[in-house]
Amino acid sequence: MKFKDYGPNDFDGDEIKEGRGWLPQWWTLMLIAGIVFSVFFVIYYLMILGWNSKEQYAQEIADYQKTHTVVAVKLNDDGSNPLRADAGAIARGQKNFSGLCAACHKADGTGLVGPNLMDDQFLHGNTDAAMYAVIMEGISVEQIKQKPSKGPMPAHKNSFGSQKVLETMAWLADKNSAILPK
Amino acid sequence: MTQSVQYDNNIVRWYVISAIVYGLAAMTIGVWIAFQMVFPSWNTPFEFLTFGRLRPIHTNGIIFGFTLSIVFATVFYAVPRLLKTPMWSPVLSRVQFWLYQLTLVGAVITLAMGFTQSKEYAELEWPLDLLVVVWWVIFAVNFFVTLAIRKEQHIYVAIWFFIATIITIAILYIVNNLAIPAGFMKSYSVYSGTTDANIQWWYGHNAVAFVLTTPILGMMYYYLPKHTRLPIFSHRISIIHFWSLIFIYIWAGPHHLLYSPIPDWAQTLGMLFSIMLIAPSWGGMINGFLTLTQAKEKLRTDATLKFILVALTFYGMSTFEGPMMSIRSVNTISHNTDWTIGHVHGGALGWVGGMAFAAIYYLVPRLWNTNLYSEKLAEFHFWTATIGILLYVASMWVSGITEGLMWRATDATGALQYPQWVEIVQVLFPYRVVRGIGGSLFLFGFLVMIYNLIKTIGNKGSGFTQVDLREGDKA
Repeated sequence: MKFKDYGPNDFDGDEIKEGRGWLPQWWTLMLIAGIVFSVFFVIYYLMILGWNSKEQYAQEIADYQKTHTVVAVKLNDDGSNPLRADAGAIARGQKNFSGLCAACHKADGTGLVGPNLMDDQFLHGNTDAAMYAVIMEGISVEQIKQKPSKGPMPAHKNSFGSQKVLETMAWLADKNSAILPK
Repeated sequence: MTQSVQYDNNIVRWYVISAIVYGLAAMTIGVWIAFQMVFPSWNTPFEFLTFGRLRPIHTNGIIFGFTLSIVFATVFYAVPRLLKTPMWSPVLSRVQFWLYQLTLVGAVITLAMGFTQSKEYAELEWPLDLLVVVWWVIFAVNFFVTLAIRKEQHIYVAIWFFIATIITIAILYIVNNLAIPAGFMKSYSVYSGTTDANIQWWYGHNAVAFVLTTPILGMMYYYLPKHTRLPIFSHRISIIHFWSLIFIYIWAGPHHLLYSPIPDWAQTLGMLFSIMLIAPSWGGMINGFLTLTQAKEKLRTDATLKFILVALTFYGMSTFEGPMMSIRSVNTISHNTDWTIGHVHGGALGWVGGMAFAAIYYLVPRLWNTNLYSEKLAEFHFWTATIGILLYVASMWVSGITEGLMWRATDATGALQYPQWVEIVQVLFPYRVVRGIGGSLFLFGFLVMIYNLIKTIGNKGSGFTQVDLREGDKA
């Protein structure tokens, strides 16, 4: 096959020469050190120490629970929210809401895929006790089948815990007078 | 004895042009999606302009469009010359080229339409995967027959790296893409669960190794001694770092899956093989550096040499950074953050980009038999590209570590300190703007190069004279 070309290929005359330089000593040592280290690391870390990720996780959970003891806050005996009208709790509640709830209920609580929390229509009750139960335990898919509503909701006892749920409810009650103490 | 051998230069010209076209397209998309991260409205109004659609086009375009094109250009230029024999079949070279182009066009269209296997760097659906296998096998046959009928007994180190690339990519690509078709553009992987993840990152990590590292090392081993007309520093280093590199690289994949459900021992081995990889990677870097120091005076005046220097520097940096990020305790901060993006671009813009530009500046004057239109513009390209890379990488380090620390920060009650994602995104805004600016600078340098090359090609046939870069030579 003949190729159309612009000129001769005569700039390829030079051969590439390969030197016989020695390996730099630091580099050789580094190569060996990496391999030796890895062999000893496996023996020590996995076989002697017996490290595994499940134990590490359990340890981290234990450490966490030691430093952050859970303070259980409960509803008042009459079922109302003890943090109602507590200015600090309301401010923290708004932050909680925008962090975890706003994705479904919109930052101002007027609802997106989750229902509007700022009107006087409530699917699962409008008392503190009813809301507390719903937020803590969530709405399961089974419940939706029995009583149609907008959709399921995660159980926030697992994410917020009682303290933050009550703070968030304090903010909601502050915004919407249709939420009754009992 | 002078023996005249007629080499097939046209196929090399096509691949150089292909590299420039896909480089331009993929880098432009890269800059666009970088700004989508700070201006979300840029995702509208068309669904194919959303980040999720454009991002795989950007990555596939750079890896399989830009990089592979310049790798093929080098293989079809350097391998016949190193073996003193033309490619066995110019027809197969052409069939491969057009099937490759068909795949790339198909990739752009199907990815824009949202067809994907949801495997990173292996997004293409099964019909395109089959096409890739066809032209890769054609390439392999053409290459190995040429190797068998070679006129030069000695197989130079650059060719070892190309051999490693051809064989390993074939294995990786076929094994990871095994899938059961479920319609024309839909398939299910034959692997499930953690096996699927492990195979995917064995592939993903080694796509980086055998598309973005070994063939680029092959390019370095060809262009550096050819351009400077100086001997490669050490054949011994070549041998040892080649074999240690390809042996160790293939095991490091699980470091992408630290603290995932794959077995603990597999994660630990992935991490250790990554650490063992520092020295083999640096072997290529020091062989390049020690060759380059013989011509260090010419670094002042020669942009091609500067690109090789920056490429080697970023190669050394990325191959140190990567193993550090694969250490489990570092990875808990770096995983899924912008740091990873910065790491990848240090390698892609610095190492691959630098070596690709050196290759283009080496090849174009020779292929069109003329001198480079403007050395000054090449110099300008070098500085815009280098400043662009530095802005990109530095901003992503800051951004990545910031977000990694913010994600895990807890307040006095033990709850997340920044539970609102948007709050973190807002903090990252300035760094991501700087990243976009860095990318834009790099793209601007690329445009300057294209102008320089068009002007160069305009003078085609006017005669090429090689500049002698050897120390003490004032020619």
